[in-house]
Amino acid sequence: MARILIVTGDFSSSGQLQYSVYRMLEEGFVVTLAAPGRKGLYTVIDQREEGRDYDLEKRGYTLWPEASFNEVDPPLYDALILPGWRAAEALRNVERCIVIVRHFIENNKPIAAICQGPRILVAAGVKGRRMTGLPMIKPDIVASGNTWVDAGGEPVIDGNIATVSGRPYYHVWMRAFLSLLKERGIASPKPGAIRTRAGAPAVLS
Amino acid sequence: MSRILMIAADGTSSGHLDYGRFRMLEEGYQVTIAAPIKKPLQTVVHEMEEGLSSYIERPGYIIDADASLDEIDPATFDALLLPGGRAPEYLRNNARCLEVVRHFVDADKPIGSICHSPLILAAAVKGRRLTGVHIIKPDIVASGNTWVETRSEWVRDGNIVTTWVTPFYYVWIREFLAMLNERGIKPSSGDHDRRSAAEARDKNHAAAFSIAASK
Repeated sequence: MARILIVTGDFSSSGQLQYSVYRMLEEGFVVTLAAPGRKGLYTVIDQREEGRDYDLEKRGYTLWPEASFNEVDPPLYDALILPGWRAAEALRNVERCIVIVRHFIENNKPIAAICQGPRILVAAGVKGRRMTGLPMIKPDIVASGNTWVDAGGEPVIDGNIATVSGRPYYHVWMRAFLSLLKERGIASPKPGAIRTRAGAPAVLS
Repeated sequence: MSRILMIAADGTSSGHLDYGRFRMLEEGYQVTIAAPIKKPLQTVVHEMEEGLSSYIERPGYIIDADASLDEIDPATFDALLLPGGRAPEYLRNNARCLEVVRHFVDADKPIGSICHSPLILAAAVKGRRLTGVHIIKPDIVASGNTWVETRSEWVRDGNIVTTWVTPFYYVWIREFLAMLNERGIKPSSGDHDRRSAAEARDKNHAAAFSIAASK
């Protein structure tokens, strides 16, 4: 049974996180959202407003992780998703997060990262790969011995790693990731099944 | 080339509009977001909070409308997606909105609706089985339609698929895509086409990243 791990935390991008979680559920995969602790995540609407040089953060949708990092057993999972925004900047300093991510790197399992997500990958030891992401993370990519690609709306696929710049290319990101899964024969056991997430309380009830 | 119309406005659900739009682009459909006025739309995040008996509203992503409802020709579209949120409550009073929606009803074209947006359908259809967020039940019943109580399941009645609420976007879109597939409404080929629509739309955002990065 194919299982997808999504590693995130507070201040993840609401849009990136939601699109990846629900896209994987739509495909029928078993999805585990993992964060430092098992509590509602404070996500953000990451978007620039007119007249500002950079994005202002507004509070986005709350998502509930199924597992804390300590509860995650990485070998159980077939692929990894790293959504972006400011969560990634903090998470790359969390030792258990790096241990988890390293498993996917060392075992050549498919990884999708977007926006600031690639910062976790380089902190976990990825070297010599072609990557893109949020343009302001370029120094981290270069300093870690990887190659920065100005990709615009195109996905960058290097071996098992698919990276994309950010909004509005969620669809480009997940399309590239799904193509990696397909190439490697990682398929949903029951494509028609509607899976719901175990950790989430009822909404609007 | 298959074209999908989404009707949105200020107060449309950020999550519904985003998931619907990006899923259609991912499949390779051309997507047009039509609103009463062609302008950047302030979408909203609706969520339950501890201690409150109804949902609270916060601002979501700002998403540009591609066209005004007046300037689109519904006959040039193959299917309709109606995101929810608070916008449907006033969109159902917009005569042009109802005229556009009626085209899809009369022509038996696929319609996907979620959460509050069946309010718009209720103003345009009768005798159908519909679901949505449970607090709209009185409108569905009063309009001569049948209310179906659901949680994460979808309801299909002919060309109309309705689903409950956030976060069951994926249930909504999966059934909507199944309906398009059954009716032979295929995405266009060519990656380039599918991306250009999104690129044009949130170009500002990507540009902002570059500006910030160069400082």
